[in-house]
Amino acid sequence: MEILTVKDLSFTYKNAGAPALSDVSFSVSEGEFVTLCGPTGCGKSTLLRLIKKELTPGGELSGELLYKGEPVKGLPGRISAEQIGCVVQRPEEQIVCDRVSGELFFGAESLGYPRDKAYRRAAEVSSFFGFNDVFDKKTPELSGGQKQLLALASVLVTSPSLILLDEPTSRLDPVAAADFISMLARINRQLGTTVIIAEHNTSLLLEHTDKLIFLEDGRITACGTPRGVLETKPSHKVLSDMPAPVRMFFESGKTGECPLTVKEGRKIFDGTTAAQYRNTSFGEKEVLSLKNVYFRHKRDGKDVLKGLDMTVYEGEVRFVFGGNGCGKTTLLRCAAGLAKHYSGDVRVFDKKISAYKNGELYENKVSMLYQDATCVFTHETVGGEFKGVDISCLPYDISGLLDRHPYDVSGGELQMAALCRVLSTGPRLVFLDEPTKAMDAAAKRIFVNTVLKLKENGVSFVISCHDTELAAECADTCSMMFDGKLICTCKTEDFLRENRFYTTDKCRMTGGKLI
Amino acid sequence: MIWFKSCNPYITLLYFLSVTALSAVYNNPLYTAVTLASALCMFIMCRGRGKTAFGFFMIFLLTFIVNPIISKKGATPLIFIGSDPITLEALIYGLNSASLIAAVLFLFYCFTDITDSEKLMYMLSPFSASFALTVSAVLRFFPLYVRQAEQISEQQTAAGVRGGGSIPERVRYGGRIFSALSTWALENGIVTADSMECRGYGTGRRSFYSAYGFKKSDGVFLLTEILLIAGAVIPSFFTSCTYEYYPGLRFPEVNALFITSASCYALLVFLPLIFEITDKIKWKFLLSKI
Repeated sequence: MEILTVKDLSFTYKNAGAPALSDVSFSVSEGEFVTLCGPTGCGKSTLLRLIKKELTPGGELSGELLYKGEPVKGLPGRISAEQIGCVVQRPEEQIVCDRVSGELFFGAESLGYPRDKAYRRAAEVSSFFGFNDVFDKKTPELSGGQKQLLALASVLVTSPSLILLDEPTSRLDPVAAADFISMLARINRQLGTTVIIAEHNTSLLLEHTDKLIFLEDGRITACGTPRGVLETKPSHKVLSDMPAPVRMFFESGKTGECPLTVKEGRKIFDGTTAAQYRNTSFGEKEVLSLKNVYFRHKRDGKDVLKGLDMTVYEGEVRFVFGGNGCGKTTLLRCAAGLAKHYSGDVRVFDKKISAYKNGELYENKVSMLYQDATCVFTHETVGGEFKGVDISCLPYDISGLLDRHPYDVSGGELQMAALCRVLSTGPRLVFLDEPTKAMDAAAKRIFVNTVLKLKENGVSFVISCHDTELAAECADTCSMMFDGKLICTCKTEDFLRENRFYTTDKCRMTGGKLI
Repeated sequence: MIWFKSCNPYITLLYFLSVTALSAVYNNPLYTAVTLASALCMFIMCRGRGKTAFGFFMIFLLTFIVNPIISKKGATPLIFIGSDPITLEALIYGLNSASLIAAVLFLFYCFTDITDSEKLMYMLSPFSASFALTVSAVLRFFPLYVRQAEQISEQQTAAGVRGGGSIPERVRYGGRIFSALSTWALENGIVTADSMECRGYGTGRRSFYSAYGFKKSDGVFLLTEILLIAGAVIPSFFTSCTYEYYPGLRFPEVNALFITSASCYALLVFLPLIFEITDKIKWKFLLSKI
């Protein structure tokens, strides 16, 4: 039975010239797993928001949008809330209560379920997700991955028949993202819940997907089973969103059936490719050195950095990997002099970091970009941050963003604008904390080019990241952080080849010949 | 306070309310001493490691000293400072109030330690489920805001913005951080509100679930508690239990009624400790042998 029917749907935002969606038609059967992909701003989120009537933005809508044969607009609030669940990008903000238990009960409480029913549902969901140990915990104490799982769990309490997800894994580390997707696939398989998920990175999704829909500029450019869509070579834009096996298959010009997973890809590529690595050389002058550094947040807290050593040279691009909460951000803050270590030695440009006074370090030597790019912007417009800066000298063209409010700019563009802002002081050593979160393939491309260009000029980078493919494209050296120390540091190709989990799919498929 | 922590929140609330109210109403050094003794014991059992009562002691000392210096009432001058007498009555009154304040502070410390946000919401929920939800949301927001403010300020430093300098400059810088924080908070609030609406908030009457049961020992405690409160209060309708400080010190008449009231009150004050120790013994000698 069709659970969702979309026919000739067009939508134009208020005060916007071009339509966000035009003539979109597709249908979803009950129990299907639908993946929506496409570059930032292609209309994925808009489409999801139209299906969930509580989130429908203001604007002009034409065409048909039916949920189980009824127009979505006319659905009673109760039905929409109970049967259509929704999980969005940012796990932090969609959590309402301060306790895990309260969050799980929220939906049931809002719909006024009788006590027994609410308890049974919450208990079931909590057990299914493994939340029993954290049931009484406070929500801010959960990790990012747990928060996102909690958001999914709290939606499931009302037993929805359709779940909509808007880039739910874009802010999670790869391990947490894989956990989330496998849980979602399990829900789809076991409970028969229909899933519609919008996501840039399809590498985890393709094997679970029944229907792949590709949106570009508000139009569907491809729709069908993954195999069907990939029978012929897709457009360049579609391809850049596809997982590594698919990309490699079409780039190498091979014929036959396109591999969708690493397992299938290995059969085709293993042993057939010649080793080929990027040139990764850099200067010999030390720009940053940490020796035996210890840090903790509170006197009675635990050590986050435990005798950490690290040396970065001129023109080096260093990536730091490690699980969520292993202290990567703290390492960056300590090395940039923004958090004070209590023991050890931090030297920047051959001078003790404490010898730099009154922020002279940040004038033109060191700069750092935090995970949350919005922290950079304290003015009403993006342009307000760039007063007295020659816009044309920046590595990325932001002239189109200057008059806009930072919150109206898409995630990827805002991230690039924030990067431009921290680079505008002309630093020689740049710390970036997960800079490509929420970026699509095109934005990542620009990011990589920016980093490589500055590296040529002798700028050093320390980047904390989860994205191994990004490291393969622009890192000279990689470090693994664990238990408050960097337990290994080596050249990118050696790092990816030796690793089994923190490596790229390309590397997995070719046995380390390509990274 | 393992037992007291695990019992029904309403019982703890009734205990703390009745003890603080009665000790303040009687204002009797005997009652105060009993309250202080029990409050100290409970504080020692509740407090975390390294937590000292230094601040409480300073407040105690201050109240104790200030009263005799300010108050000129009382019939028995002890010494004269200039022409101002320091009277025995004022001294005793000061000692009593200081002990009372210290006792209430200790009790309050224990109360906040025992009652977490979840218990608070459980107690609020019968009055308004929406209010309970608001409390929960605010409790979640607060640490988030603090963290975000720190992050914005650090990011500004890292991007080469100088917050120091002259006072107007600092004010302007602070204003910008605050404005960024409020924009973030509003934006954050919209997502949260959307998430609430998506899950059916506002579609009908809210309910509230919580997992606080009512054990047999809770019942025993509650019953004893009520009997003891009655035992402490009712006699005072027939005989005076309050202590008179001015003009001269006068202890209330010690009769059967007064003894009943005082002993009931003493038992009430020590009731959580009695239950706590009984519970400990029970675990040590009975349950752990299984």
